[in-house]
Amino acid sequence: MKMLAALVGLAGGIGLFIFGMQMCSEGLQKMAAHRLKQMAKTLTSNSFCGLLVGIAVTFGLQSSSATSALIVGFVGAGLMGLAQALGVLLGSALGASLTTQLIAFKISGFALALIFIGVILYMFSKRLRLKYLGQTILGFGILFYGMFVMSSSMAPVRDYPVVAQTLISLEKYPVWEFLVAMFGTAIIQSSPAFLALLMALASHGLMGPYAIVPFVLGAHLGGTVTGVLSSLGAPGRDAKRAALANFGFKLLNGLVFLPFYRPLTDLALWSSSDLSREIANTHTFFSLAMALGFLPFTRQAAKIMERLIPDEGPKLGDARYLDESLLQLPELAVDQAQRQTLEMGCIVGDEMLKRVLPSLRYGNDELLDRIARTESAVDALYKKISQYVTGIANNSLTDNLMQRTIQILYTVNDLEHIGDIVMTVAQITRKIKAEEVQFSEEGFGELTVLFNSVFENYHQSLEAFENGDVNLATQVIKEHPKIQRLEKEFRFNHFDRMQSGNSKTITSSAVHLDLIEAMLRIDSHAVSISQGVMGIV
Amino acid sequence: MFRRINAYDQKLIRIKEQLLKMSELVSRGLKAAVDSFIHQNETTAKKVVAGDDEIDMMDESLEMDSLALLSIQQPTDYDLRFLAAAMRISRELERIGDYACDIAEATLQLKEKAPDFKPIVDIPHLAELVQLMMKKSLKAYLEKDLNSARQMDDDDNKVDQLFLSLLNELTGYMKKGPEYVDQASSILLVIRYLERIGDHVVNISEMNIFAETGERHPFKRKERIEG
Repeated sequence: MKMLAALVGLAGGIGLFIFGMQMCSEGLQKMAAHRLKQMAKTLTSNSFCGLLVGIAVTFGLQSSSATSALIVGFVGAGLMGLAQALGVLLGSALGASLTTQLIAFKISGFALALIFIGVILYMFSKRLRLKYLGQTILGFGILFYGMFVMSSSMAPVRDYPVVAQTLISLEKYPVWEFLVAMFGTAIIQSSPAFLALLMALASHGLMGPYAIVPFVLGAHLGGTVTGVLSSLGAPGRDAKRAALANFGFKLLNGLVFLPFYRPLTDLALWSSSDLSREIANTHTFFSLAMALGFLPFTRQAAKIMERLIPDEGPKLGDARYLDESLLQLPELAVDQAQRQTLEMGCIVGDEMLKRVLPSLRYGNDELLDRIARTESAVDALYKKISQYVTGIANNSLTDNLMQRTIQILYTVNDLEHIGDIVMTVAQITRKIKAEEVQFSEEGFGELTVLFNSVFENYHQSLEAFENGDVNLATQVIKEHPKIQRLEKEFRFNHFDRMQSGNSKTITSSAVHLDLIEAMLRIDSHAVSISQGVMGIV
Repeated sequence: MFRRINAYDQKLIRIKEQLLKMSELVSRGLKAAVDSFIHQNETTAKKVVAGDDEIDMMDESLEMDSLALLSIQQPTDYDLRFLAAAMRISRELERIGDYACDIAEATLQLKEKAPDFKPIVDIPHLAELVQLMMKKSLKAYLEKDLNSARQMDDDDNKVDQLFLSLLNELTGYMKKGPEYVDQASSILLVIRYLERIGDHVVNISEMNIFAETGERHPFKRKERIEG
């Protein structure tokens, strides 16, 4: 019974620890994500700077997985090269070891005090920054309290000499320990949490000193498994490369150092007399060793990864910018959604709109099939982007970001409508071909003029959306009445030609008028996009 | 390409026609007012005062028509400027009409005070200059002649100079003796009205240039370049 209680206590303690860590990380992200993001963007020009940024960001966010998500997002967005990203990831291990050093302090006694202060700030602060600070402190408190629970639940285990002996004797099987630590960390998805568990065991003498090195090496490796698994589903190859490289670094690290676990343990024992501190020091030692060992070779490592996971051509309709892991960082997520929207706009422009005139002129079946394929890709993108953006909106957003998400939702909606319109134009084109309808020269000339004006306006609306250019957006809107006049004019001319008995005009009449109307509708969507840019929604 | 004129375009043209009709009415009123003052003709003066209501009503109907046009069809940049300018020009004409009225009223007042009045200063010349300005400004508007429109402030400077010299002359009379004060102050008001009309005529040309080019303060810019 006592053993069961101990296990339950241990599990609950881990639960509290992880929850506290997540809470703390959330609070810190809300306070500092913007600045950390700027830092990560600007300060990674050489790999040493990258290392420092990795340390700062990971310690700042209290989560190496948040850092890797951030960095992988940057790489995917082309803001950072893979080699630089690897430098940052190496720094991230060091940042995590700072956390480990922090939890090795025996400050469980203060845990409840931290919780109290945190709750007061979190519940009663009017200012957001103080509220987030409260959340962070509360998270720390819960984290330390989790450690206390783990540690105290382990106490009764000493009464079972058999269990205690078995645990201690594990130190004779370093490879097993390494694997246990790896899987254990992978399962609870947090190396600090696993190390906290070790510290709880150590505090009751339930762990032999020679177990430290294999356990810590295993925890290092296990911490990267989550990243590898989540990168499998992530869009973009760079995410996979970065995650795999990180895994590779730590695997090599383990393979190189595991055979020397005895002398390394002696080194750790020399560094401190407290077993918890020894665990933290060991973690720091390996992080440092990896940073020093691999930092000079990040370029080569990136090349190897690029060979292992080669590029594949992007597929139409792939939302390569929409990284789910960035949803926790609204600023970045909105940037990504905007990029994706812009790409969608380019697809609608280049793959659909641009093909309208050639398809009318030549009625090429292959061209029409391509338009149809693109249309379903555009529909898919519309769904993905709007889901992604509404996913961001679930978190608390600043007014400015809220405005931008609304703007994106409007724009993707307009783009999707334009896609539908081009699709109907493609169907009209098939009809023309089947019935061998021909336009009059003048009529086709007018369609071309109208189309070119609309196409130009569409592109300007996208440019305005890209740069948030209110002046350009105004121009697009002012152009619309002129296009409306053009439409009236051309419709009149068409009827005029009909009255004068132009046979081509008469047979192509329905189609011709449908096309004119379609273009006018496309232009109203360009206007709507521009109005979105101006905040008229 | 042959530009078809639809009902909307016709209504725009109609606004311009209304403006021209109004400007003729105002010019005629101004001429009559000046004549009534110079020749001390009470009947003409009364006619001018009575005619002002019609001008006011034209201003109002032009404004309403312009607003109605704005809501019928989304206006292009040009249409917008044209209609805004038309409303403003109509307002300027209405002001000029009011000044013509004021001149006519001055005629009636002077008649009571000094029946033996003789035009002692060169009002006819000033009045002629102002009327010429008005003619030129409206012609420029009708013909979209921006070169002429841009000359309006030079013309206005001449008017201003003449006004100042007449003012000196009048204050000179007033200093000679109190018997001149009644006459001279009436004349002073009239030349002041004429000078103000000159300013409103400049505004008409300013609006003309704005409607055609979108340039908002052509004369201020000119001053800066020349200064």
